[in-house]
Amino acid sequence: MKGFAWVLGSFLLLSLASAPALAAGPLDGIGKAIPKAPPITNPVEETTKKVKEVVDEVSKPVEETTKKVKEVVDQVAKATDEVAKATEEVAKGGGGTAGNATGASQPSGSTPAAAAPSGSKVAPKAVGSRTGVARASNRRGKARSRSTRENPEQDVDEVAAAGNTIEPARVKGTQIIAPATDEDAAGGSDLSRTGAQILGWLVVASWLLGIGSALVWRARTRVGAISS
Amino acid sequence: MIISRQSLILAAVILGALILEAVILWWFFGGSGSDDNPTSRDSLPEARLEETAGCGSISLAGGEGNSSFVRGSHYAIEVPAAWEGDLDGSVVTLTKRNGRATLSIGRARPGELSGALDDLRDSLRRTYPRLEVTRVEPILIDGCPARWILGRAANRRGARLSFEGVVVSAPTGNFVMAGFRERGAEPQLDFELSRTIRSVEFLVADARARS
Repeated sequence: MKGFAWVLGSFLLLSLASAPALAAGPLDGIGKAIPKAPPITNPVEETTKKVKEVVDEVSKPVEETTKKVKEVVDQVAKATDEVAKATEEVAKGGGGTAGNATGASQPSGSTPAAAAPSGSKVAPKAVGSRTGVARASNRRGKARSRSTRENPEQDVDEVAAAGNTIEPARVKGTQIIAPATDEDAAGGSDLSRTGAQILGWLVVASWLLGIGSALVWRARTRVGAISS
Repeated sequence: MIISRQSLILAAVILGALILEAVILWWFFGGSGSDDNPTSRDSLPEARLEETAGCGSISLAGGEGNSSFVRGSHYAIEVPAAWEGDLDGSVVTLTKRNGRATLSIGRARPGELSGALDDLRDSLRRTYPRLEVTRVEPILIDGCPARWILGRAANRRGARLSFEGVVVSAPTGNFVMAGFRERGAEPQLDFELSRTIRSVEFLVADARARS
């Protein structure tokens, strides 16, 4: 009896459910071509594009500022080179009367570059100043003077100072994506980093929500216990 | 104070959430290991200074027509992809094109390697006020005995750097190398730097080459 009632009930339910559809007749869309679905866009790619646009906008003024700073540094380097050349010429001419006159007119130790022996190519102080400028300048410049250093310690200083050419990637909490010279390296790591940050904040937010709801639930049970 | 079962469950849930969060955060931000704590050394060989019979090379890989190498005085170093090399006097500087890393090699003070290493450390300390050397190890570069230091620093522009420096006792003299990369920029740069440092080939002395 029960089985019969179940079967009957199921039949009734099915007929009730299909009645409006049958009454409405064939569907309008049947037989027609299926409209083209909108292209599936990857939200990650869209987000990446937007982030890149923002980053490009941010990096433009940074690049402009960097260019200006480089120009200033180049100008300073040129001026320093000119001073060094002039000093070198004075040092070369130091063997004659001019050198004696220089040595006599200047207090001792005030201009060691001018007082350098004529055999040396560049006076020590001039080399030091040029090295200092070289540290601040961009090392990728191909037009730099190819100086030869006789002292290996100057090589060590230049090697050690190479890290000063690296510019910080983070500006006020925003990570500037590296230029697309190494696309697989730069894009992947930055994208994963952004995703990790979003996920981290999501975890923190859900954790806070959980604590809040747990506290509310606990307070409600206490109130219920007191009221009862 | 009676601790109910519900309270225990609540505490366990909160503790579990905390542990899960810590694990996830560590996985994403701290799990790369070599990123902020450059201690991974899977590329540089372990030090066995007695194995120095094959120090140097008779012919350099960067000699004829090999554009992927930059040749300096008595040495050649490979220029990785997306890097460019520049020879300035006796110093070769390789720079990643996006400016996130640089590696330089030049001559060091002749004599004991410890003296050259002291020079490098002193120069690094002078250049970077917040310098922290985390490891110092003896290694082999192109079969030559070397000392390798690893650490971190911050440069004048405020970039947080990881660096590795090497002083090598090559057949034609001592050489110094220092590689810098920005921490957190590209973790694989650590491997690139180590691989590039290992790519250096030192020319043996002329007498040995002729023989």
